[in-house]
This record gives sequence, structure tokens and C-alpha cells, in this order.
Amino acid sequence: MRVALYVVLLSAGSKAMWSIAPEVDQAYWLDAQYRGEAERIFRQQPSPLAEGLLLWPELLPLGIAAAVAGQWPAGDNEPPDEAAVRAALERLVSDAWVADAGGGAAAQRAPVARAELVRGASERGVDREDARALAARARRAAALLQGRALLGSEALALLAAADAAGPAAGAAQAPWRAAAPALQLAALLGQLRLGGAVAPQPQPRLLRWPLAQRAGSRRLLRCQRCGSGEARMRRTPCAICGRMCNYCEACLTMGRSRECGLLILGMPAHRAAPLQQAAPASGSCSERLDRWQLSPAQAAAAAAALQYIEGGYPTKQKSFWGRLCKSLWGAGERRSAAPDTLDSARRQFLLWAVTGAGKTEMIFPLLEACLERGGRALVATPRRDVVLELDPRIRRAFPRAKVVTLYGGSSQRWESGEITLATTHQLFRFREAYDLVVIDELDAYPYHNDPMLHYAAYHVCASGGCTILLSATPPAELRRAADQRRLAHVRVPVRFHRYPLPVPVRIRIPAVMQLLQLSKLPRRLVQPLKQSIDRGAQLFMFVQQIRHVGPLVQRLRSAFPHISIDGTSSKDPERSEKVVRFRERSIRLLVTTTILERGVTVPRSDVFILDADGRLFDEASLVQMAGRAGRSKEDPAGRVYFCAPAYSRSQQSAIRQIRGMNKLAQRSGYLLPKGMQPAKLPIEK
Amino acid sequence: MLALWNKVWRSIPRAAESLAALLRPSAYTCLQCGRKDHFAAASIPLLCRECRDSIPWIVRIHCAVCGRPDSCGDCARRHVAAFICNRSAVRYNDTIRQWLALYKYRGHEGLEPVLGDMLLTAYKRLLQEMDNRQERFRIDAVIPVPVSQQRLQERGFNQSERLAGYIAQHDAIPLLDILRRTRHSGKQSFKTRAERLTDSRGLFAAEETAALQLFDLNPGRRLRLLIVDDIYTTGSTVSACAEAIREELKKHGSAIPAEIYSITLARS
Repeated sequence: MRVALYVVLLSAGSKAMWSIAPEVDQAYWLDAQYRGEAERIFRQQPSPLAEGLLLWPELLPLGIAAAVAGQWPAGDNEPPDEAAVRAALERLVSDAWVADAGGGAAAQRAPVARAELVRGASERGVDREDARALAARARRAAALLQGRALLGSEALALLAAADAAGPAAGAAQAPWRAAAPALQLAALLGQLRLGGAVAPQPQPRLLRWPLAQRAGSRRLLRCQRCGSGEARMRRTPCAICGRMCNYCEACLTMGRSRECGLLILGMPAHRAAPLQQAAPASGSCSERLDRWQLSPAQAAAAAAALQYIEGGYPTKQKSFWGRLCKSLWGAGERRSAAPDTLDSARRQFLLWAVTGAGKTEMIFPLLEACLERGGRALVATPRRDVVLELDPRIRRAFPRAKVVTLYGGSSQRWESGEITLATTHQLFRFREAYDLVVIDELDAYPYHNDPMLHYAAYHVCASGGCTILLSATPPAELRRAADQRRLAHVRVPVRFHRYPLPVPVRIRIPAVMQLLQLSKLPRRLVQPLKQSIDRGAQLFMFVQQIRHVGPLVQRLRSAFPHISIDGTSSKDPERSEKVVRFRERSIRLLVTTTILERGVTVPRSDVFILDADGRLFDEASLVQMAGRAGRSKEDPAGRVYFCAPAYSRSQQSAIRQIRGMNKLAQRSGYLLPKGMQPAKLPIEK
Repeated sequence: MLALWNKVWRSIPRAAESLAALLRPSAYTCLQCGRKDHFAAASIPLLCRECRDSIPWIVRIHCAVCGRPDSCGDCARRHVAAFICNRSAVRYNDTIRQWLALYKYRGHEGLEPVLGDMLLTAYKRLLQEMDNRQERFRIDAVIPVPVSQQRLQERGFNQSERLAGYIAQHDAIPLLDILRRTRHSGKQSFKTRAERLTDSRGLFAAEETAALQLFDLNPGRRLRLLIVDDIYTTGSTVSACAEAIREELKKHGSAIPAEIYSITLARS
């Protein structure tokens, strides 16, 4: 979009600003009555008016206007000299155009226009009533946008949904024009932050000076919403602002974030009471946990997390997210506040719970603690189906709280509530909004290895808030941080049914490629398969490649003609029906790729992992797949087999991790007493 | 001696380019699905093999007018057409629908070269076909179907103009953006067939000053114009555009007879 650029001449100094509704700015700076009304409605202290405004005669692309405003010299506190200010404005505007063209050599300069000086408010005079109504709308908009980070069109949709878009919002013509004055007024009063969705990265102070000397140099851009850098930018001619303009390819699925598009940041949400403060209203820690009927291990972990949230463990160390964000994006943080204070303000807690430990139940007391203090909580999970599955459980657990569920295409998109349940991508739409952020399965796709989502998760937590990271298989970096006590954490080494995790057994057989060429499946594989089938278990068989699924299903069908065998993969349109049929036991053996590695609970199941030495199965993936077995109380001792020609490091460390957890459970006394455990089934190698 | 030196001198950039090609990584990220793949010599670069194979190319044309691969009621029903024929690169199936949505509505302009290449194949085929009929067939100007001002402000670009740019660039033909929409009609994709036909009547008009460029072309024979759009459904849009151009030519009392062709990316 194109915006108006102007310089405010104050009694001491001057500053350049840009506006999406210049008539509002003019009244705000020059009309004492208008300013008085606005400040009264926002309950702000009166601030000085301007001596005059120097308006740039034409609308400028947002990127250019923002560059000029950003480079405006901070100036001394003396009354500005009009001629000097005019000269500076003309120079900066033409510099900005030159820098935009790049290089500076063959840059086409914009015709140097003369800025117009305005001393008084516009002739027609501003109606008191109008001013009051606009200020009221601005206040409402600022409240609605609190804690949000929205593109212009999204903000408009939010305001329209709340019926606050402006007088002519219902009509089809230009709803943007109706909403702009209120947004601009809120921004002038410091209740909103308007900026380009893709904007130059703030440079460290030392670098700023040499950069400013070279008029032709273009500063590095960053998507202000997802944090992606130049590598993900694409520069295209843009009909909206009339120049070559960048957009961010990384977060395109969430609406296009571009250089001439607005990103509207609401103010951070303020809390009723800091989480760390004040004793809980209702009884001691254990009393509060009782209501949730947790197993001893769950209760202990929840208590530790609760204690941490409420300030039991003050950590001085820098958080993992802060370090990660810093290492990924360098020093240029969005806020001007020193990054260190930021990092210590956003605290992290790792809840490392084995597969089937009952993670969801453990977060209930934490959510409750947050709500009791009037805070807002967010639970983010990577996948949409998990969100949909979690939704009724949370609503049942917190019948009085307002729960908002967000995912692509959710009907509650623009609502806000006390508990928000969202897919990870939705986090882009929030900024410093939540006091408690729970991130589920942080090692899973798409979250894993995606700096964009890490950036989003980092910025969604309000300062002073707390982030809980949930995982059965945290990435190595987090585990190291936990081991070195840089990251507060607790381990839940046992499943909710209090039986140990099944330890994988190795079977040495050829790789699947060779297996398919053999005339007969090897006895070493057939034997345990037969045992599992005979004991009535459901069999998961994991392979690496989608192209192996079909042939393997054929081989298995001919080897075990009396049971129904099927295969699935990410390419299979009937995937979810097959999983349902597998759960209902009408399919007994399901050959699958890693798509079913997590989130699937099938009672009484055994797991065979073929090509366990393959590149695609890392430690986390092996542990997750092994975690499909023995999840139900009725059959806690499922069987897990790593079938491979070689014993790889991943297999080794996965087995070590599982054994370690069992040992820890034993030591902590979480396991059921020996007598109550079922007799170990003999397993043949 | 000087000639030899010149030859050597001129070959340097070419040598540098082939060296750079050697050094360039052979694996790219597929623009469509984001998967990494090896892109060997291929008709459509920048796509992985799977996405490339999913393109529903129109290989055999059934209707000589609209270039549809099946028989076509619309063209049989029409008595006078303002344009000679349309050719499309691909069928409009789910894949293409998704790609176009990604490009137009999501604004994934990175897909543009792929779509441009696809459009070019249709254009080349049209040239080939026409070359068989007439001597030295050449298009004099490419005219994109316009979008309304409001849509342009939302989207930031006119997809037809961008795609037309690929044809214009390929054969160094002037790209004349001379048409305007007379009113803002809703999205074509939300309308029924009958609605489209009535709605598009008089929807376009040539811009007076811009249209003067048409008279500068003066090829000394029939004027051959090419209308470019993304999707051809009933042909009403292309028809309306062609009519608007003919009107404009008539208004200026031009004696030059015009042949109007159309190239669209997808034929639904």
C-alpha cells in the first residue's frame, strides 16, 4: 500500500512519520480539542502539540516511507529550522528511492517534490462528536488487537467479525478506508504498532553508521511475522505500491506478508497478576493436583512444573529459545529491549514424558493454575487432528473457561478466550499474548527443524510468562541443555498404567530390498510374526520407503493368507479409513511408513520396524515407533522388534533411552510391584 | 588476427556460463511441492519429476476453435466468433486448479516461471499449427485480459499480464495492455455458465490512448493479435475482449483487418 509521509515540527526537535490516514494525523498534531478528546478517551496524559507539519505531497510506497521515518536524524532539542527540515526530507526521500533501485548508479530518482507546510488544523474543523466517536473506535480496536500480530487484511477481518470495522464496514466499498482512521489514531496514541510486514532488520548500533553513509546500500530485509530472512524473500513488481517489492515465501500459507503490506501488532496482553506472585487461592500443591486423578509419576511431574511456573526455580541462565533465536537470527531482535532481559523473562520448562505417559492430563493442573490468576493459556500442537481430538477433552476439564480452537479454516478464528488450542502455524497471528504456552510434540514435523515456527513460539509468550515444552523424544540440544541444568525439566519415565516400556528386540534380517527378492521370507522374521499373530495382537510394520509398502504387503499376504493385511502411506487417500479398520481389528497387520509413528493408539499392538538401520529412522523416530506397543492397561507388555542387517547407532541409543527410562522408573518406585506385573512372555530370537 | 581475437573475446562469457553451470548444484527444491529433487534436462525445469508428470497436457485437440481435447458444444452453438481460435496448454483439473489458486490467490509468484513455460508450449504449438496453414505466421501483439482495479489492488499483479509477458519476451513481440474492465464483476469461478455468458457482454473496453499503439504496429498485412488469459471455460471472456478490440479498430475507421487468436493456460 501507499502511505502519507510527513515531518512533525515540535517545539523541540522534529520527527518523520508515516500514516495510513493522514487526516487523523493532521488533527492529532495540530488540533488541541481533537487531541484532548482522544487523550481523554484513552485516559492518557496530555502531550505537546506540534508547531506544524511538513507533508510530502504524494503518497509513497510503505517501504520507502518507513525507510525515511527510520533514518530520520534523532536531532537536538532545538526548535527545528523549516528549511533544513525540508532539505533533509527531500534528501532522505530521494536516497530511499535510490537505495530501492539498488546500486545507485543507474537509479531513477523520483521527481523531487516540494513538501507542503501545514501550520493549523484543517479548515473545516473537527467535530467534537466525531473525534469522540473515532477515539472510542480506536480504543475498541486496540483492545481487540491486543496480543495479536496480524496482516492488514486479517486485522480488518477481525474488526469486522467484532463489528468494529467502522461506519461503512457493511458496504462492499473499501472497508479498509473505514478502519484506517481508528487504527492510525490508536497507533499515534501508542496503543498499536503499525509497520511493514517485511521490513529491514534493525542493525546493531555500530553497524548502523557505516550503512547510513552509503546511500545506495539496501538493508537486509526480514519477515516481521515469521522471522525469515533474505533467503526466503522474493522480489516482484507490485501493482499495489508501484515498485519492486518483496514478499516472504516462507509463511505464504498464512496469507502473504509483503513489504508494502501492513503488519499490525497489538500491545502485549497485560495480566491480572503475575504467575509467580501470590499463593494459590485453593490449598496446597497436592490438594490442587488431587482433583485431576493423576498417577504418582504424573502427579510428581505436574507438581514440579507447577512449582516452576509459580517461581519455585528461578533460573538465571539464558533460555533455550532465546539462544536458538539468537543463533538463528543474530542480534537483531525486534524489540529494542536488550535481548538478555527478554530471555530471562520468558522461561522454559521441559516436560520429558515417555510415550503413553498421559501428557495431556499433566497439563491440566498447569492450565488451571494459569486461569486462577486470570492469565491466558495456549496449547499448541503440530497437527490439526490432535487439536480436534484435544478440544473436547479440554472443554470437559474446564467447563467454565472460554476455549478457542484455532486451525486452518476454524470458525473461531478471530475470537479470543482464556484457553486457546491451536496448531503451531496459528502462533504467527499472536505476539506476546499468553502467560502460559504449552508446546506439544516439539520434535515432530512440522515444528522440528523449522526456524520459522521456533520464532513464532518464542514470540507468542508474554514477557514474564512461561513456556512448557512437551516431548517424548526431545531433540539432542534440549536434552543436553537439560543435562547441564541450563533448562529446567522433569522426566516422566513411566506410562500411566505403571508398567515398564517394552524394550526392543533385535532381529538380524536382510534389508527390505533384498527381502523382496528372496523366494521365502526368513524364518527369523516369520517366527515372531507368527507368535504375535497367534497371541491376537495387532501388528504395525514400519518401512522406510513408500514404494516398499505394496510389494511387502503382497509377500506377507502370501505368507499369512489367513489374516487380513494392508498397507498405507502418506500417498494413500484411504489412510484414515485404514487406520480405523486397523483399530477395529478388521485389518490385523498394517504396513506403513513413518506417518503412523506418533499419535496413534491401538490397544494390544506389536511393532516390527524393518530397515531399522536406515537413514530415515533416527533415534526419536525409533523411540516413537516402539512407543506404539503396549499402550493399553490390558496388554502393557507389547513387543517391539528392530529388524535390520546392521545395528546402527540410532538403534543403540533408542534402546538405551528406553532402558534408561525403565531404570529411572524402577528407581523412583513408579512401577507396579513385581507381583502385579504380568509374567514376562518368552521371546525367541 | 583481430577477427580471431574478437572471436576469443566473445566466447569468454559463454565459457564462463558453462563453467558456472557445472558448479551449480544439481538438486533444486521443487517450486510446487517443496521437495528436493534432481532436475535433469527437462521440458519444465524447477519442478520435481512427480509434479512434472502430474501436468495434464492437452496433446490431441478435438475442437479446432477452442482447443478442447473433447468435443465442444459451445463452439458448435456459436455462429460468429470474434476470435479465430483458442489454444490451451493443459486441462483444468484439480492439480492445475491448485497451482493456479496458489499463484493467484495465495500470491505464490515463485510459480510464475513454471506457468509461463507451460503457456509457452501452447503458444509454440499454435505457431506450428498455423505455420502449416499459412506462410510465416507471426503474432504482432500480445494483449492480456485485464483484471479490475480492485482485484489488482488486492492481488498486486495481473496474472494474465505476467503470463503474457513470457510470450512477449520469447518472441520479442510488443505486450499491449490496452483493455480495461468496464465494471467490477465478481469472480468468474463463482458463476454458472449462463451467468458468465450474459455477464461478460460489454465487460471490456479498449483504452483510447493506449489503443493507438495498435495502429503503430502496421505489419503491412492482416493484424494478428493474441489474447492471453489463465483459464478458458466458456470462451465468453476471450470473446468479449476480442469484440472490444474489434470495436476499437472500427471506431478509428481502420482498414486493417485483424485476426484475433487466444492462448490460455488451462481449458476446463
